[in-house]
Amino acid sequence: MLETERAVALFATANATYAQAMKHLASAIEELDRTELEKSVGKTWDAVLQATNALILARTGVEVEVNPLDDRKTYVALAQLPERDEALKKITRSYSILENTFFTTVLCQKDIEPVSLLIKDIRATADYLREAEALANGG
Amino acid sequence: MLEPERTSAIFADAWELYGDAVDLLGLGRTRIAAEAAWGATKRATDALILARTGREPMNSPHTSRGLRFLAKTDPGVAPLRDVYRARQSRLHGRCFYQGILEPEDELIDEIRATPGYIRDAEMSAAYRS
Repeated sequence: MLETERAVALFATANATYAQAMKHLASAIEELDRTELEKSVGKTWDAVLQATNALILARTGVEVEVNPLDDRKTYVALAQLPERDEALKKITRSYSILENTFFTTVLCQKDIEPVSLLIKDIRATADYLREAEALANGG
Repeated sequence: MLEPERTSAIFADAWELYGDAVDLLGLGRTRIAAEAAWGATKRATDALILARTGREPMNSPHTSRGLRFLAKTDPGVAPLRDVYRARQSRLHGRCFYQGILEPEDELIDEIRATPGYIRDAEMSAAYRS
């Protein structure tokens, strides 16, 4: 498969994963279920990694392995993308914010409070996925 | 120590840590400078939380959580929360713990941006909604 087609397929995977995250979120809100909320966070974090790796592939031709428990390769590849204009710096910063929120705070420290803010953060991740796709397309 | 005095003392600690970060940058010790800059960020946030809630965070997770609760009730704190999360990840996690310094020019920019965060926290501490 060509790199461009592969990147498009990865973005499709990221969007599908994020759709699963939103389903878990809907269940979490309806049933006030913490397990469902953590599942939603896990899926959201997966989607962030998939979209970021798709951006890296589109820009460099190199595919980084997705590892939700150790994202160092993804972060290093993102932070070292060539031609670092303001848009790339901004998305790197956004990635750091999402990593801090979903991976460090929720998945590692198991802290979901305040829940209303976490739900807002999960929903706002759609912006990150769109931004990554736009940058991959030269935006 | 009374709460306003304690708040001022913690902000002073934040500024001192930033001074250390600048000194360390001058010595070419970027990794340790990043940790001092992160420390300044955390202390300024501790002072903000103390000023606004009357409670001083005991540790880093408490600081993060305290800032989240402030951001929930005061939209004016939301930008500070974004900067705090980005700095915790970049300066503390990636740089100090994992030893990832590149791209170093952006890391140094982040360290040098510390006074902006401390000043914003000081202004937010003085404001009560």
